[in-house]
Amino acid sequence: MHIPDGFLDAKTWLGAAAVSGVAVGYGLKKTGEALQDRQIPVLGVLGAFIFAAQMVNFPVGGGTSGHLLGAALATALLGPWSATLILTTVLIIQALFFADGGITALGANVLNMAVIAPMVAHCVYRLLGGVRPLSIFLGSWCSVIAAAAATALELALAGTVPLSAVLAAMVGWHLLIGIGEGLITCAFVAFVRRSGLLAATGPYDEGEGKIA
Amino acid sequence: MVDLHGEPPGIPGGRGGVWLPFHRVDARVKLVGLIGYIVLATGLKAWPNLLAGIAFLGLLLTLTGTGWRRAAARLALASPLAGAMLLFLPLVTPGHPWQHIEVGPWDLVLNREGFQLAAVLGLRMANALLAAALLLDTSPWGDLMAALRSLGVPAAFVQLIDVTLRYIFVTAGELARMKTALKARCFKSGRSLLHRDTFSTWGQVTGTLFIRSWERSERVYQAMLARGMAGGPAAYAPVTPPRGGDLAWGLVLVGTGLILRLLEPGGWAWAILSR
Repeated sequence: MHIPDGFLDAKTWLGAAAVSGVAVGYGLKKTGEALQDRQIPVLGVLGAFIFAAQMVNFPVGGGTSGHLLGAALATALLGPWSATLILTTVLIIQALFFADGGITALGANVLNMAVIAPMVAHCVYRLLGGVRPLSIFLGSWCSVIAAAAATALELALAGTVPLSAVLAAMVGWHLLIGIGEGLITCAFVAFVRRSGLLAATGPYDEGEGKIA
Repeated sequence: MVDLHGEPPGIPGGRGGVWLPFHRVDARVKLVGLIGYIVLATGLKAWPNLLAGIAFLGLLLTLTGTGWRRAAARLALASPLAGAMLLFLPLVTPGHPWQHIEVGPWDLVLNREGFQLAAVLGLRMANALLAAALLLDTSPWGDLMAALRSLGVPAAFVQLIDVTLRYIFVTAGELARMKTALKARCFKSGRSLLHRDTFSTWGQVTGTLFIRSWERSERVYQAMLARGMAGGPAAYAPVTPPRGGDLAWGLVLVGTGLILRLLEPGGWAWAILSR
């Protein structure tokens, strides 16, 4: 889902970068207010955790595999703005050091995976009454589909690929990836809840906005 | 790739000689110059110009003594995507049919324009990846963070990137050990989304990793407090203005990108010359 350099035209990547910049700036302010001087160590170490979690591959079928996006997972743990910051940091590191996603396309990748995906998961959690198995599964699934659809729209807007073809390919494939993401995130949240840690960190269990 | 504990980048110990002291150029100038180059080069449409850009970066990589090993590794990381593009774009890009492939009941038509588009996109990616390799291999990590800070990126955000990168290797190592432990206990991943045990196991593995990361974040916070953190952002290198030689390097980088754009067939230079 990471768009590389050269796939987007200037209007698309500049527009996406502007929207992402505003969202990340607001996220910095919100998480700074909520976490205060714990902002850097908590989000930094959990950013490393999300990076590692994205290295977990799961089987999809027919010999193919997918990997976690982690947006719904981070949102369930810390809330949407923390998830935005964590995923933005991960995307920057991936683009710079691991050739995964482009530098000019960074704004678009941040918009798709670090802004849209956590916000969609957040909306699903709010609509379905918090972090419960059904909402986690649907939140994860919808976040992956939304990010894939946004990627397809940007590629089509840039004139790189016809919309019908790229939308069908991206969304079609991520319908399946989203199921895997949902299943792992459900198992993950159930495990963390048993440890008692989710009650301490979770923004949805004991009132909204405990951590941004 | 980044090696935070290795010898400083840009002072290569490889086979090639250091003909250009690019590693001594101010990191801010390199950052702005190479990003400027990437912005210009990834808008190129003509493959000769894209190849000229790759040749320019190759020359810099060679003359700065950086070598091709890491640059080749970056290109290799992006090669699966390039391969997928070469398969996908000729199928979906409108244009003139070039090849027909029969796959079972389907007759797939590959278009010439799709291949050309895939080639251009691949060359743009190569330009960007080589430019990023040049930046990372000639700039110590701390200098890059200081450059970001002095270019106006919020201090909290720079520090967040810094801390995340430091703990990525710790956390990824932890995950690798957990995977080894799973293998030692005869865990075998299923073959489809229907394999419940696989997803349950990976959920538990990531859960354990999260709990350890959460506890680590608390220890990191306590360590930062113990070292006198007063809640403000960490100080990076003091800001000094770049020297004239540094700025000249910036002009060379952005100027090359600009010249490649101007000289594109049908570009501005050709429009002016043809009058």
